Amino acid sequence: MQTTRQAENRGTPLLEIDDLAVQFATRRGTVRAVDGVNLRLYEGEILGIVGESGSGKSMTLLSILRLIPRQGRIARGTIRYRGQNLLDLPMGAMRALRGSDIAMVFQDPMTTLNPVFPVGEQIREALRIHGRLDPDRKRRWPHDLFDRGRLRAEREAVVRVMQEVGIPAPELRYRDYPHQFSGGMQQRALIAIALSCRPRILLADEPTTALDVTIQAQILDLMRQINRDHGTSIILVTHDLAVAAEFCDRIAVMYAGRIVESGATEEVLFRPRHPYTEGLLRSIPRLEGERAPLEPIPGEVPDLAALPDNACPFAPRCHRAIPACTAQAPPWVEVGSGHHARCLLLDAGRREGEA
Amino acid sequence: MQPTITETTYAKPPGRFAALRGRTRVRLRLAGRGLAGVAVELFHHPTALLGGVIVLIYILAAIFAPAIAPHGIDESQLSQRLAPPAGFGGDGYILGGDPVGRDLLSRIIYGARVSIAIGVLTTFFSAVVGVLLGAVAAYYRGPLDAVVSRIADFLLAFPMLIFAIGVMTILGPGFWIIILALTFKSWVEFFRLVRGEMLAEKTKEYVEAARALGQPGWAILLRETLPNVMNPVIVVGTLRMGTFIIAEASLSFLGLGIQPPTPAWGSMVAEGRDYMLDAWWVATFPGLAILILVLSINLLGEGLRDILDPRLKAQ
Amino acid sequence: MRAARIVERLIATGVLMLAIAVFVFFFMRYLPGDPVDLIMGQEGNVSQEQIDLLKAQYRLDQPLHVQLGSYLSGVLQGDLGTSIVQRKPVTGLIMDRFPATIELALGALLFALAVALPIGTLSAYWRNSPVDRLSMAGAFVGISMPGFWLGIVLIMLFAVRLKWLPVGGRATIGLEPDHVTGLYVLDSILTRNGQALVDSLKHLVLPSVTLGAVMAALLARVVRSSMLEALSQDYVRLARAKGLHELVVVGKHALRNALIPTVTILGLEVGTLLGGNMIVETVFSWPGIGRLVVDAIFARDYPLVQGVVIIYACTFALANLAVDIAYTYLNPKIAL
Repeated sequence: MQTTRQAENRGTPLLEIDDLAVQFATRRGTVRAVDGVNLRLYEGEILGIVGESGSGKSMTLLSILRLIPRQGRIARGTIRYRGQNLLDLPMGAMRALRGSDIAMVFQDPMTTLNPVFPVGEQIREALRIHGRLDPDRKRRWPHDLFDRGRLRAEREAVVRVMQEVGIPAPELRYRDYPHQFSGGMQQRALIAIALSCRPRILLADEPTTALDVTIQAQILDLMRQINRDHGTSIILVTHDLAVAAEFCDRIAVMYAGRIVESGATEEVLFRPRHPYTEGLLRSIPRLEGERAPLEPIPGEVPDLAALPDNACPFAPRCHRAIPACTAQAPPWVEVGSGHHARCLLLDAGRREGEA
Repeated sequence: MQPTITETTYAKPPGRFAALRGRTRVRLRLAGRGLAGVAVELFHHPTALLGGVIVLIYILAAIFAPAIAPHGIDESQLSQRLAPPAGFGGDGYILGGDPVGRDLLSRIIYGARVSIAIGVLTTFFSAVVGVLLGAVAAYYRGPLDAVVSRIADFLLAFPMLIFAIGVMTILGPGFWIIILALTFKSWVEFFRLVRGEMLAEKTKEYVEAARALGQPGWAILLRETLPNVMNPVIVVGTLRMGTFIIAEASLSFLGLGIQPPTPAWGSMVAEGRDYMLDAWWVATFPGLAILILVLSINLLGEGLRDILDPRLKAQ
Repeated sequence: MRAARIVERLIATGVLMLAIAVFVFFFMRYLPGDPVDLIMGQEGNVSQEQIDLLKAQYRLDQPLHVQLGSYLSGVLQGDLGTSIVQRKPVTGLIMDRFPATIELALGALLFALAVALPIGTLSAYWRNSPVDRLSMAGAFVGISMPGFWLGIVLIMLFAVRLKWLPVGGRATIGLEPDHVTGLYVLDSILTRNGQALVDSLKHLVLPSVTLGAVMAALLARVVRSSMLEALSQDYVRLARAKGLHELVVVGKHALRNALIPTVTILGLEVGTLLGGNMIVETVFSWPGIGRLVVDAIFARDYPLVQGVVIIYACTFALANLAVDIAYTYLNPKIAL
């Protein structure tokens, strides 16, 4: 596979998530949607978070911007961006980061764009809110509402962004409403909104799931180009291992609110160590290589409201589970350079190897 | 190959028929949950239960007014002319006396008869007219449906009170005239409800299956869909009843509805209006009686909606 | 595209108004009793010539379709006939009173929106909070409120007891502003008459609150539920992710969407404003067409009742047209 990836020379991480836990109070009890997640995102890197729906990957992403739904709360943990814990920031400072330093692209462009405002207007708002249009000038309301020169300048800035994400004829489409855009164009518009302020981190929550396969590839190309041209770090959340394999430098696999395996893409894909990752890999079809039969993982995603404390949540579905798996929480084991997995068997194996 | 296909097509009608019978049973059970079932569920809606209990008290008071009311409706005492209520310096009538020296409380209790009767009867007639026209229009479609639907749209464009006033002008005031005037417009809502429901139901396969089996379409439609439509009709009817009661009171207030000396809350408030400078109770208490009754009916209606037809909640 | 839709609606409204005029014509024509008797009833004993003269004057000697034709052409030219009681043209009588009714309706609408929008929005934003529960309980009482009684209670409280506001009427005698539009508040501003402005505003408060109360309660419930819907949408999350302030997220992105169903309901409820004004104008001695029609009914002045009903219906149709046009601006999908 690709070897030109820039995951090597890392330095300090741009974003550090430590022991993050997100909980929802429901009638059935506390749902632990995210439970002790640790993640590092480095400058210029593309990190993939992979897992089934309900594994907590979207919630992890939303926690970074503190946008989790109101029924939920961040129960513990820290999210450090350039040294400051985002979870401690006052609301005003958090808003200043949203969209400007950390931007997000959502899953369903159709419902994410506001149906009652023209697309160009929505991009302009994103540019304007962080003063990226003319940073030198103080906002003078309402006088500048009628400043034609400024309006033209804003319009041009928006058109440039639309051009950059590949929306054809942006001058003509500026005034169009979201429902007049195709799905792929809507997603490009969303990416334009996210990119408008040149964020350092782009959070992408299943950005291609709602799109046709050909459009998917175009959108991924666009995001890769952004990563290359501006050095924007990207976290891509997806349930599609193939997308992650093609696109990401590193991959973290999530299961039941926890990260069960993480490492460089090649490591995780070719030398998976956690039984869940192995299962995921066996359950997707391959075009090349050995023609192994497809094997879906048996059983179902566990009930997040009834997770046992001292047990591996995957144990009930794991074909290698031993009695000890349901008696103690699995350890986080280093299984290679920068490659970790959360499995009791790996720990035992290593100790046996040392002995 | 050929025989297999014939066999499958043949196999279908009995299957459909079985499904039809299954559906019928489910429907009847749901719709025919009965008063008892609804009453049990009301206990899970405390506000609706409260509304229901208050409505029941009003109804009982209206029925047994002669037994409950401390005084007769025409019985007047000169000393109690505009007498304040007990606790506000009054010594006789509990809620004070009216401009003629009659007991306000007794007249309010008797007044419940007019309001409740008009509310219930208007709801009943509106529902009957609306349901019948809706069912017929939806079944026959064509010009009949077009004409009735146009009329319905037209009536919908008219404010109810203006309409009622037009009718009252021509026919003069009177109990049945009020009901006629209100029903003249208010059947439209039931009509639209039932027509829409019927049209949706008509395309379903059990109706087609019944037709294929030689049953007349309208019979099956009536038997199958009416129970299904009854729930929303009951809910809308309850929620509308309050509007009718207020409309009657408004007409009576304007002097176009129930005429004195028959006690009606609207005309009692109108009487009190002339004395609002020095006898606040005369206008206040009859109006309060309307407010509490309508409020209770609406509470009950919203509760019934949650129980019988949660779909309507979105509207 | 938008223009085409508006033109289409205009035509439909015209047709509706015509239909209303025809309807009212037949309605009045089939009254029990001969109109001439009614007119004559106020004159005492009359000769046959007088009756014939009257019949000719009211065109009652012509065939029905001729009557309808001349009546309709009259309506189209703004001639609604002559009042039997006041012996004046109906159009003039209505036009003298119409501004008062419009002023009251606008006041009520303004009050309803000023109450419903913030309360509905805040209730949705802080759903299930004490604020929400209290507001919605209040709104529930509001929709069950008999308007005429509310007016009387408000008068007893704020005019009789506290003496803050006048008992009724549009203005204190001698303080009326010079006539420009007929709307006293607007005229006071246009003629820079501060005293008249304060006076007419004071007179407008209680009637507007009374007429707008039910609508305010109803709209608050609608705003709340459509706001709840809007706040749960993805575009609200995008607005937050952009870094927008909550005020902008709620007040711009969510509210603009929530206004679409709200305006629909508003259109349906314009009739409440019109129907209610007869009551409120009676309670507050407000000299508008609501009181005019009530008086006309008691006087059995049929041409006047007929004229007012037509004006009511046309106002209603025009108000609905305005709502429809507002709707096309609010909802870009409709504009197509």
